Amino acid sequence: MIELINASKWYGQVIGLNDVTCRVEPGVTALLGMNGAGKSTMMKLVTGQVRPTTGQVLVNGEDPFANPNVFRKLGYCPEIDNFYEWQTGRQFVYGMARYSGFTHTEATNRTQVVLDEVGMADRCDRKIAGYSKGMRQRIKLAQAMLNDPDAILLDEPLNGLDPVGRRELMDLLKILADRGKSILVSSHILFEVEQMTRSILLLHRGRLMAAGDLRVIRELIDKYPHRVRIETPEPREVAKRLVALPYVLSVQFDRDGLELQTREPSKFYNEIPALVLDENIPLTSFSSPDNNLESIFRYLVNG
Amino acid sequence: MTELFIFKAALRDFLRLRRVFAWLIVGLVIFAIAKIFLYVWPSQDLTQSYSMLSSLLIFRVLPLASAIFSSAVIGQEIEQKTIVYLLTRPIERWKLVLLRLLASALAVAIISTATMTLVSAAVYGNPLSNTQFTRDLIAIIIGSLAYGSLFVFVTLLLNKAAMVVCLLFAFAWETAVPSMPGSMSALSVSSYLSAIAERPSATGGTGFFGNMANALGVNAISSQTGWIVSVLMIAFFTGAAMWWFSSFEFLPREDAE
Repeated sequence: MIELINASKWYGQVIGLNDVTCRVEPGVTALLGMNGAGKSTMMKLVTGQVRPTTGQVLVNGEDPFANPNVFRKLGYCPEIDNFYEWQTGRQFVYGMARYSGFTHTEATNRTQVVLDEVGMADRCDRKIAGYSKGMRQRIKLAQAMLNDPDAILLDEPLNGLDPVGRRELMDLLKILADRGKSILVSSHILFEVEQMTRSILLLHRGRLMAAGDLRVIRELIDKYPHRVRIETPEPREVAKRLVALPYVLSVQFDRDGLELQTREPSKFYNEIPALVLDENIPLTSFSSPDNNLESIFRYLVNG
Repeated sequence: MTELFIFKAALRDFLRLRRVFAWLIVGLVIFAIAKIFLYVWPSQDLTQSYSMLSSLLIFRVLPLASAIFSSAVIGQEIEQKTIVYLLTRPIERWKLVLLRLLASALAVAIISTATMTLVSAAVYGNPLSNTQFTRDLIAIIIGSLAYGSLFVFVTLLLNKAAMVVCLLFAFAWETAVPSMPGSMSALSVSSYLSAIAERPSATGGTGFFGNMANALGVNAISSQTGWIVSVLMIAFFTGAAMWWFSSFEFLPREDAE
């Protein structure tokens, strides 16, 4: 569907994307990275706004640069927050539908459908100039969905959405992904992305640092010990038992319990029920600060 | 019909009241200037008076309006970052620039024709009494396309400094070059438009306006040459703009910096 083969993009002396090779398959894929990591450059390459300096970018096997064939099956929700402010949301989406080749009747119907889908049907007849950030995001998403694309690219779509809006957007993306669409979502709000998908592409300074399933990536980072936080009323007693385990590297105490580090988290988690039941270790709760995207991101970037 | 929609949508945008309002004021000011001119320097030869005012006013408004409207064809979309919506639609880029260019040329033609109608009304009372009206109308249409294609190409080429270059060309070049010695007038679009309009020589006028009109020089270019050069110019710059826009990257202003 979407494929980058050794794609690099230079802006004069500045590199935007550096030798990236990856594929975006059906389902939701998160494109992660800090500001300036190259997320928007990658989006621009895939949406044919810019050409790769070296390498190749293919969408359905075709070069997307100025290629109408590609845009018939590709939707793009840009990061920019600019519109024709004097238009209403409906006028804007309808206009984009006509630009996409729909007749008046088709465009009118399709506009209504996508406005319903993004939850803007009741507010779309107001001028865009008066829209909140969240409403603008929804309108941008609506125009990206007009031609029922096989692939949708969303550049920071969660920006400005309230919690309800975010939840609705995530649900909508899941529905679209279930329909077999390839969805690439760029974001730096890691915990939200984590709720959306486990498939990630991680960019840092233009380079693709990691790609694939979040858990698999985490397991690959064996250079860093995995942290487990345990809450217990008897931290000293528990620490004594746990530190005797061969795969526990260290234990640190804090106010409500302790935090240990292990190189083999799976083994440790498998052992916990036995420890609690057989050895009567009093555990109130346990959790892992490393079982989230934030920590993986931190390890990869700072590692 | 997508193409027709793009043309109509662009035309609607160019003729929005907020945009056109300034030109309405310009038209009324020009009408007032024409009335003052006729009051201060009354002439029995209305054709001569109209011709002088046409050179000085109408064919100055034309390149000015062209410079401003042409910058809205693509340059403004880049400036306000909405270019991204247009470039990610399933439509060929050359069609996009061509249709928007045609819409801007029509908007300029409408504004210039309105100005011409006001000047004709000031001189003749009834604008339809102006025997020069049709020829000037044709020159305005050709001029809108010629200036439009040139300025759109310049905006695609220069991007940031384009507006300044276009305004300098519209004001300085088009005023100074036709009055330069030798064949220099051949480098001015205005000279070819005057030839197409078959406007009688403006020389011989008196007073401030007469001297200004004289300064614009005598047009020695034939109507046929005017047509050939103008059509070639429109074809060349329109083609160049279409090719350039289809071949190169156009990013929203902030991203391009």
